[in-house]
Amino acid sequence: MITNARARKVSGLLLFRNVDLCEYPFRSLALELCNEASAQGLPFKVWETYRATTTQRAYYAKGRTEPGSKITNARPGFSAHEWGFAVDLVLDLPGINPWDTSVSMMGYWQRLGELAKAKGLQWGGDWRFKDYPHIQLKDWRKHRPENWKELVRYRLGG
Amino acid sequence: MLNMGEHGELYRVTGATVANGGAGTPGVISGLVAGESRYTVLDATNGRIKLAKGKHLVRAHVAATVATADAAASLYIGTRNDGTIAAVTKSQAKGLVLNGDPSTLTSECVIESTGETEVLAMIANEDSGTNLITVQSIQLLAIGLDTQPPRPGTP
Repeated sequence: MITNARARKVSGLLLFRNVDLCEYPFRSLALELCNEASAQGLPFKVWETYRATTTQRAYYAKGRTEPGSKITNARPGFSAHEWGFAVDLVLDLPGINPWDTSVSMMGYWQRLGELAKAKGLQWGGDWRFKDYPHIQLKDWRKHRPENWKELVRYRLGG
Repeated sequence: MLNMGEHGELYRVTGATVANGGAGTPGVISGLVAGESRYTVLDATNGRIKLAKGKHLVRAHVAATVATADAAASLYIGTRNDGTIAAVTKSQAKGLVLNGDPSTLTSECVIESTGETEVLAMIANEDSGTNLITVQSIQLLAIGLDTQPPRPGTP
């Protein structure tokens, strides 16, 4: 699995895909997870790692102040991605939607979740609001900088 | 010259080392700027990276190790004009090595570019000892702040 892909734009938003952008102590766990998933033949690729707070604002607006369905419940500043404590891994199979969570693909997602949990990480597939690709550091809020609220305003240009 | 109208990763560097006193030991990419004895400038294109006109959140992120656990390093974001470097912001950490895991150091600031503003990252070894910082990776990111957020597609 490629863990250091360059950033790219999708629908006008920057997607950072380099696991190196994750923060201690999540970074090494995420790299291990990616390597072990590959070693076990799980067909995943890194979709997103660090996320700009401006991007989180755009995600949160969707289905609220912008058209479309809601895609996140995390307001700007409240996603582990913004602090380098989460990665999204999606399926990497020819002809298959990377977010396919149908029964035929569920085995892959479950095995990914088990691998993540074996490392003490949290898996979005366990949540009520299912987010199968999402893997994050447990208790990541404790690892945010003390001035994180101030940083959120700063990051949004305020 | 690279003009970053499209924002994203401005550059990344791997494998550079920074000796105390600023005597930068070249890794894959490393350069010491004349007149600066303390910083090693990490810059993929030897210092010719511009930001497009407007306001940007610029974020530097480094993963590094040092020889001993009590060493200290600082990460700066700088702007440059005609070879003169101004350090805009920095983050500082002591004890970069934690449990054998490369520590990460992040620094971010808002820079308003005239369209000619160049940005770079600098890492400084703050120790007077003989510790050597080994930069595992460093990235400099820029995120435009001037425009309204576009409508996202399906992520």
